[in-house]
Amino acid sequence: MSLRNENSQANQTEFVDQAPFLDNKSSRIFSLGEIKKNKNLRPFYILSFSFVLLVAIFFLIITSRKQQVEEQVLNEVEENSALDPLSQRAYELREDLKDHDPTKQSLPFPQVDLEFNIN
Amino acid sequence: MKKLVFFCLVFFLFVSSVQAQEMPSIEDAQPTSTTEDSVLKTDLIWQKERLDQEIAAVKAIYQSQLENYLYHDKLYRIAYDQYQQLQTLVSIEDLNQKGKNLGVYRDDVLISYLDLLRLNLVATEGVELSLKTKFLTQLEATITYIKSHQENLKNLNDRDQISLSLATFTQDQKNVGRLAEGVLVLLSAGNLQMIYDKSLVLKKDIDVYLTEKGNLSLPAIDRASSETNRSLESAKLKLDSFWSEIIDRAEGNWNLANFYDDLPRTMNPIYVNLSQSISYLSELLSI
Repeated sequence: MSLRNENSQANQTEFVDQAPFLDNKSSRIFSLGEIKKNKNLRPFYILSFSFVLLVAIFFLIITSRKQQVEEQVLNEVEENSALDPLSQRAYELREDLKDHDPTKQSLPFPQVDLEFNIN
Repeated sequence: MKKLVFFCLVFFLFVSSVQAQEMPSIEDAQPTSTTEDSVLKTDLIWQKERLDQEIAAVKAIYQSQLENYLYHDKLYRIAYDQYQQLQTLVSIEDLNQKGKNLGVYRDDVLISYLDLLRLNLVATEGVELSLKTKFLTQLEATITYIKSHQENLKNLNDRDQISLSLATFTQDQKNVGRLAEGVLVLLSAGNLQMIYDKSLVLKKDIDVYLTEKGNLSLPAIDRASSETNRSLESAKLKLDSFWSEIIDRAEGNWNLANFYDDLPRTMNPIYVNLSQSISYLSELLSI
């Protein structure tokens, strides 16, 4: 059922058939023009300001958490700095041992023919 | 008021810069023995770096020469097959040239390979000195012989002389492979010995570090440290046993090369022991 504006019924020169089927109002969800017509914009301003404030607080919380994580990582690196030379030596020893695995031969005798001749 | 604040800021800045300048004078008072030790260590590190660079350079040359040899080996095989089938003067001349070239390139490969073994033997610190000297001498003598053979072969043009030169080489250098195997046995044992020696030094440094922290006296750490010492001692016993066997058998010719085929089975227990010791050392640092 179409909704008819009560005001349109006051137009006596227009027949029912000629009247628009649907109200010819703007179907947009948000219309700034409509809002401007409303003289009491204070609630709108308060709501939009609160929304912006909440978004700003949200971003601040996220960035402060990232800084905390970075500080924790830096602190861990500083704590480990005293062990680094010894740990580095242990790591290098482990790598050296892997390079000298007796089951792997890095310098095998080349595949050359020691017995060839031209006869 | 503003001027007073400005003056205070300038004053404090001036004072802090003076303190920063005073700090280096305290650090300059170092004992001279530390300087001498650091110079000696720098020389050793520089020599090792130079050796490592030389080894890398020779290895690159060796690999390119080996590729060149393998390519000319194929050409020689083709020429030999054609000579066998055709028996023409052209095929004989082609075989002469290909055979002579192949002999020259083979000498290049062997010279580079033996030089690589020589450099690696010089660079490996854990090899017993008398064995190292003996095998270095043998390597140098073989390299000299092959260089002389190569120079002689380059100047030969007669087919019979080329054939004789190649046959002489086959006879004189039939054991060059065994020499290489003996050196490889020494390198394998020497590298593991070097790793054991460094592990021992690292263990002592870790003990000093834990003592300074006051942790070495804790029961758990003391037990862990003792277990690490036991593991290192076990590796030492195996290495000492292997070296004494090698020295005894190296009296005869080429006996050291007999270890080569059995090298993985013989060295693996030492390798596993050292691997365990290094894991223990890493764990000690993280306790």
